[in-house]
Amino acid sequence: MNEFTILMHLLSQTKQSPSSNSFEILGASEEELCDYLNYTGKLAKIKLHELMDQFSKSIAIFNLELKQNPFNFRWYLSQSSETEEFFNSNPFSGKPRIAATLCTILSLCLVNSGKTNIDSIQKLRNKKDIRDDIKELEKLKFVNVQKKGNQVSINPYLGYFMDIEAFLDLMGSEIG
Amino acid sequence: MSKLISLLERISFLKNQVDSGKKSLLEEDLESLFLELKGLISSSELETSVQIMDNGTIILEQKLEELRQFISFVSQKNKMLLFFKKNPPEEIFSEILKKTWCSPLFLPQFSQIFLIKSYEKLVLKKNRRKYENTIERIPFLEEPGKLDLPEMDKPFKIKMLEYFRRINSILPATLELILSDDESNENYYENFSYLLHLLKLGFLTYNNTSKQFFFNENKNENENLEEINYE
Repeated sequence: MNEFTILMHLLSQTKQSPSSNSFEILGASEEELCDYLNYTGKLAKIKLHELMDQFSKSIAIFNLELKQNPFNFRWYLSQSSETEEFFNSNPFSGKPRIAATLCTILSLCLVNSGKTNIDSIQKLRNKKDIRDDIKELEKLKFVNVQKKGNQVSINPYLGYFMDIEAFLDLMGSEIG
Repeated sequence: MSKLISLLERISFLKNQVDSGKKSLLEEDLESLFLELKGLISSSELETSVQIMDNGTIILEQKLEELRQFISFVSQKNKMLLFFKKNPPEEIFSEILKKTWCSPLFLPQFSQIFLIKSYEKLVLKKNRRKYENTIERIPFLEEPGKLDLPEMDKPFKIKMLEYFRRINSILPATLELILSDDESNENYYENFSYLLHLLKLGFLTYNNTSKQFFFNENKNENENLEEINYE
């Protein structure tokens, strides 16, 4: 077994979050990676990133990319946008209403320190009822809804599926 | 490696990560790095210290720029609220999600145990196939009489005839007796193969009851020997 085998295993593993049984954690944190690879000392992270650079180059041939989830900072493996387009795995294709609700929630959470509420979402969406949309997004594990009260937050699971930086750029250009 | 050079390496690495867009400086604690440098500066390693300061100030400048962008985004809150209130077509959001969607690689069964078990199964299967092929090739499983012996070349035929003449005097005899003079394994199998060919060509007959080989008197020896000799 070599270092690439260890990386491949750790970056593609899934497990249940200890705090919630509805959310799967993918990949591994930098600390976990260093632990398994036995990298210690001040230069451990440097060694890890050098290894990840090499690994990233070697998996590019399979149209795979090494990414970091901006919500929980875990590294994981993702398919390239080329593969994504080819297989059209976006769950919102043909569902613009749900897509709009998710973008609204995400934008509200990003400017309101990570949380928003159903009333604010409803106000911006200007729809009769958006509870069904939120339920569907919760089912997809992309948002968390507090059982008591009406608070909505982004589930870090969404970070595995969305390029948040690209989202902010695109939203910025739409807002003008 | 001195502590100062180690610090230089860490700062250079951080700079590379930021330059290649792999790291955001918003969460990075630069203060501790500058404090570490302050405690390590010495006149003997002045050049390294200057290099660290050089990279350090570039990183600090980049962090300030990222911070400015972040504040600018947060301050766009009102603009953003206005944008949503205008009821933009929902298709815009579908398009945004389409451009930013990227599925992770799910391989829950890709564990070490799974891989080892798959490997073992593969090896077993490969070995079984090899074994089966070997069994198919064994000629002893063929029915007696249907056995096809390999083609003989001329030197083989000559040696076989010499052997036939040599054993002619002791016939009838059992297999053990005929082969009793052959000391080495090589000779034993060679002479045994001559016997098989002689049986097939009809020079010898075998009696299953007495377990003895006989000279076939019905066979016109000279004629046949000539035939084989000059074929």
